[in-house]
Amino acid sequence: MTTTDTKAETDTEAPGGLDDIDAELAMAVVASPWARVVARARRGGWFSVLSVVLGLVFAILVIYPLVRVLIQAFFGDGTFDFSIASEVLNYPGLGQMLLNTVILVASSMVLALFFGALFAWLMERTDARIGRLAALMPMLPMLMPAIAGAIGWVFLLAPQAGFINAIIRAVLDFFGVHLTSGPLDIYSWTGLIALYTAYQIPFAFLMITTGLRNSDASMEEASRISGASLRHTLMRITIPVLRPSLGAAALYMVWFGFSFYSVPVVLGTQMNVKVLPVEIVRLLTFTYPSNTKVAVGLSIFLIIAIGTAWYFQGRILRSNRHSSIGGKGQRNSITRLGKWRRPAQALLVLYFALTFVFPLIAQILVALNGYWTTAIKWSALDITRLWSGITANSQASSAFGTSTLLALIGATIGMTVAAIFALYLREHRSRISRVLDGVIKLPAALSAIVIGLGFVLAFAGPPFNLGNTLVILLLCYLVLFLPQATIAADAAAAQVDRQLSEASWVSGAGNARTFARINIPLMIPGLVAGWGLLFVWMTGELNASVMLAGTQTPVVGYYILQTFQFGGFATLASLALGLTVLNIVVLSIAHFIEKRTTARGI
Amino acid sequence: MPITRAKRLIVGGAVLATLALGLAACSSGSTPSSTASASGSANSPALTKLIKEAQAEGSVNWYSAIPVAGSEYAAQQFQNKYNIHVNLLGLSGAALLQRFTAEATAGDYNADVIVGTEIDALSTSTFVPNGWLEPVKKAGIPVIDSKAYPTAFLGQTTAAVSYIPWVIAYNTNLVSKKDAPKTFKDFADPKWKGKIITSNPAASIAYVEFWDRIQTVYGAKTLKAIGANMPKFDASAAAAAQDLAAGEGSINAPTSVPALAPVIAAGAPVAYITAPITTGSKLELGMTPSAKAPHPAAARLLANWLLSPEGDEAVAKVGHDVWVLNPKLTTKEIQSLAVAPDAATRQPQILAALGVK
Amino acid sequence: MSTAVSERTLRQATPDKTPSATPALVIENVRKEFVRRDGTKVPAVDNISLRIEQGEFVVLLGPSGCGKTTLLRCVAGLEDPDSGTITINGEQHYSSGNRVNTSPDKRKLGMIFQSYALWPHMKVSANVAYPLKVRGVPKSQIRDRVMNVLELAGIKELAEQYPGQLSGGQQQRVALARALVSNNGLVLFDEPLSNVDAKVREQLRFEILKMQSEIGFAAVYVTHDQDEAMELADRIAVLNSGKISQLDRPEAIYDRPADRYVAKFVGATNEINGVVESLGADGAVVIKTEAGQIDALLGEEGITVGDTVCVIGRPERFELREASAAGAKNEWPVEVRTTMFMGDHRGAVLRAKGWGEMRVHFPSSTDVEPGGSLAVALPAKFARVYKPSSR
Repeated sequence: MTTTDTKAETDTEAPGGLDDIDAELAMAVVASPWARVVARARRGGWFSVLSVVLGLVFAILVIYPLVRVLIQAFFGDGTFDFSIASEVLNYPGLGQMLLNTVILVASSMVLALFFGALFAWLMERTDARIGRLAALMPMLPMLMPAIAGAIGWVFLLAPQAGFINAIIRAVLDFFGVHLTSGPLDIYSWTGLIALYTAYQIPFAFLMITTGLRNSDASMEEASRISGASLRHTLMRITIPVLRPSLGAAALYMVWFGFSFYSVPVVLGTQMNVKVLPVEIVRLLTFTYPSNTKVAVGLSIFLIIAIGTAWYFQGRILRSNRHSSIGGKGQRNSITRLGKWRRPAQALLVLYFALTFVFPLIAQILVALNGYWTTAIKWSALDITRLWSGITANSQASSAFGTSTLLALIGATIGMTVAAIFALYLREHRSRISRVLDGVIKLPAALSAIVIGLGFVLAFAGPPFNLGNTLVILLLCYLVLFLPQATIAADAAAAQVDRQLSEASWVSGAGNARTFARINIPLMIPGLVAGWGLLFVWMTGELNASVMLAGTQTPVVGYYILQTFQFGGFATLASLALGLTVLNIVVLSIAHFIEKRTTARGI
Repeated sequence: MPITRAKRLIVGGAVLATLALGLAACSSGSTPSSTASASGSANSPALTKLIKEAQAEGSVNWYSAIPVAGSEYAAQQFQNKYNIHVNLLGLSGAALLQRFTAEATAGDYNADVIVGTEIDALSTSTFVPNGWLEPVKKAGIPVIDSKAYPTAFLGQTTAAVSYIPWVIAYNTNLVSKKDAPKTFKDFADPKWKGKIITSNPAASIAYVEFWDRIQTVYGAKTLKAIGANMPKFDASAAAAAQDLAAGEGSINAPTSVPALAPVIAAGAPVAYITAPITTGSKLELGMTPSAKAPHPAAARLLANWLLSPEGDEAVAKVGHDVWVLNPKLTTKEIQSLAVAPDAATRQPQILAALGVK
Repeated sequence: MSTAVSERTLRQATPDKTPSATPALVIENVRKEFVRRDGTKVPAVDNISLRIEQGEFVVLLGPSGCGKTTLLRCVAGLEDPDSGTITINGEQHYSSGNRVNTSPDKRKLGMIFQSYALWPHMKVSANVAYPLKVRGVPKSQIRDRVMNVLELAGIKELAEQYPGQLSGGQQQRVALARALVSNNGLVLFDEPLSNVDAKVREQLRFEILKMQSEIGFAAVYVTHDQDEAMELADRIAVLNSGKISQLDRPEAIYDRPADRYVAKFVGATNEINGVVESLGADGAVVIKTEAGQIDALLGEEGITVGDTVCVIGRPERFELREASAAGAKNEWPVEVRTTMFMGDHRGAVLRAKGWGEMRVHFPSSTDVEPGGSLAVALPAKFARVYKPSSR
């Protein structure tokens, strides 16, 4: 609800800008904003009506469960509990916890922007580009469920039994230096920030790559020819031009960082470092009756952080309206790095190894050995353990089927709906449509477990009776990941020149046909990338799934969290490897389709 | 149960020796079917009728906080015996209740049978008055009606199934059996400084209740000394078992056999000891009112089986848990594992003593 | 627009095409405001009225920001005006009074965009076939009509290519073909030639005219290029800050600009400030300037004796001659600074007392030496007098 308010303020604050103009003017004609939305929708034909209706449906899907959670939390005994404010504000260790979260998100954001931009530049504008890696790059750390990735790094860098530490110690031993533990320790702030950064880099990479593709390299060349230094060009030309991309990346990162659960739950617990999202989940699962009230109350801080980020991103976008040039026919000039080419490529490969290959090897080793140890019995490795975690349990194997199905349907619906929203919002910047946009993006600011709980309260029983069905899982996943989907779709829509859809309208095609024949085909590359992210997120979703996975509809995330809490890590590794393989297969197919569709003459 | 709970705090070594024996006995594994069956009621007309109705329903939804492997084994046994499919939802204690109550609040009665951690008080104060559960005594479960199930384990509205006792585990490569701690008091010895692996006591109320017992028996000073020896906390019991197997630390407690089972099964250098003074998580069974349960007859049949020796032993088998109907243990011995009902009130002090920030 | 100018516009603007019962486009009092970030309202289109007959070619000419593109987009339905009416081929498509506002797909127009706006994922033939397809033209006809229009545009052989494989000029021909294929009588051009190079531009202008004569459509053409406007237009509407300053045939716009703004925007000018000394019959005036007295002709109404005014003469209207000793009327001795050979004419930068530096055009067959002493004369009928700043 708070975000809705923030949103409204944003609207009144900045009514200007060319895009807002027709909305403002229409106000004079039709008094009520609702009537205006309806009038505009009707003018756009049934497709615009559909867009508005979809927006409303999803807004309700967000608001209603949230209201149920709020009622449950604050009106449990029939009267409003006013103690909540002081209870949240006096929550033990609140300040330290917020500080921890902010430090982690901010530091990883800065680092990720740096590395993401560097990698994007290397891949887009230099001869260090490694084509095969480019498509995979934005997804790398997410191919493996984050919780398994974090555990993979524990396997590698735990002070005693970490594989890499053991190797380093063995090498040092050879030179006469004897260590009993270390020298590296994943359970440190450095380790924590490094892993946060690794998971944040893809967002920066994805967004900045898009920005670079859309901006004309000749602007930079012009600056260099005018005698500006590389640094000056970077500061005065490249960064201002990329500001919208950087803004979108930063927003993504704040969203992701403030609700990131997997890495801090694995590392932070050991280090006695509390962060907000982990604490919220802990409050809901520590004991029953759980402290839902405080858990929801603490979510306010997430909403504030994310709302603020969103507000600033909006400002950046508005103030930079003309600096990023859309359209086509821009050539990519390739900078030759000379002797730096190989080191640059080595850096890219190192990132690939660190975020994917090493943790994967660690997980495979642990799975093969059956448990984690540096004293691996190489002769006794059991290959069947790679898949036994999935096959040994009939429900776990059916969970893979359910999750795949859900993610296929969910990602497809999610991206389609997001694309419709993105285009609708681009054409119709009215206040109402922006409030709808804000409401739909709200779930990004809430802990998934809170949303899962809300969905059970709202839809499990009469009159919907969706409890323990695929539908409730699907709806919840859609609501959870639609914010991320809309960012991807916004970026995809931004790549399509508005005149292309205008040309279609003037040619006599309505909105629906324009969407199907012009916008969707042109947005396909961006949509497929977004689809891939959604698919990966949906198969790996943990916390909401615990609340919603049905007795007949088990999902993988629920099993992974179960195994993490009370099972063998070899089983966990097996489940994670299964999911990794699934993700790679599905993403490869998606990428193949994308290439096939974009190869046609564009 | 709360009435009897307060009384048995200090338990003699002899009693616990028997308990350990009992654990050993069940772990050495006589097959469930070979032990005494639900005597008498096995052929009663009521049960025969129930079996028929249950089989007509075809399946049953079981919400269980018993570590998944244990629930799954039991579910499979039940399925084999009655040819009724068990849809199992396994979640840790609080998450299971969170899920159960959210569904019940929404009016979605999906669970037929729930086996949760220490749910009797809640069931009596909330679930039964709200109509989400009905008292097991009135649920029409043959073994309860026929008094085959001992009344000592009946709660006010639920029935106890088993206890999962907290044990001490050690890495056999790093610690010899001789040197391994025998009691939780030994954990205060400075020689273990930095070598103890433990699950985050703030992760679940069950850990707080365990440490509360340690404090009650050995004193606050001992608890503080133990806390001083613990360098870091694992996010879960599974993570702790993993760390122990890898040698990140030498000893691990409190932990449970179900948490250790996967690494032991994989051949990790891990062994465990049952300490004389310990507690366990008590698992209690509640019934959704038959009018609301999706499979009322199958629910009653499953409950009947779980509360009879055959099913009870099956539930405890994989986790080497203490099953309440184990004929080798006395009621008193089993109930010595129960925790102080007011342990939660001392939570901040206990967490502080252990060094949780 | 002052009333006097309107009257003259009515008198002089007799379009080539005879007024018909249903004009191709009637715009009445269309207004469209933009709101700036600081809250101030800027009228992009300020109560413009315009009537375009069937088959007529009207160019909206003005600098960027004058509202010409906004007006065009209002006609297409891509922008919503605030008030006014827009009627296309007798059918009302926008009316603030009647609350009518149809969507672009209902307006049955052809439109050519500045960026070509070709769909990169479709072949040329599919791009051109699209307007027919979405309007439900039978499949059997589509292919013929597409091939016909492609042939007319001279790009028949490109039918199976993708737009990305074409040059800018070819792309613009495709855009043209797409806009014309369904030929509903009205085609809108939004600065279509600003992205192609000069040579191609010239050729395309010629072909647009050729196609217009062959197919016959009314056109509203937006540009900031006066040469383009002169060449294409039946009538030109010169826009200034959301209003039409002058609507007339190209030669009238050029020779008899309605105000200083139009004079300066259309074609090059030499200017000198002065004061009105006397008014004569038929708009003849004598202006006192630093270059002496100038006989001139009133360019706009509302100028009286004693007013500060501005005398404007076009470079090619000045006559180059040997300096006469007496110093005839409207003649000034000049010092030649530079001359430029421009192919069809020569340009010279001259210096004359009072005028300062001035540009003069003369036939390229004659030549002058820099530094030589010459004189220029401006016939009174080509010296037009305007208020120093219009509006």
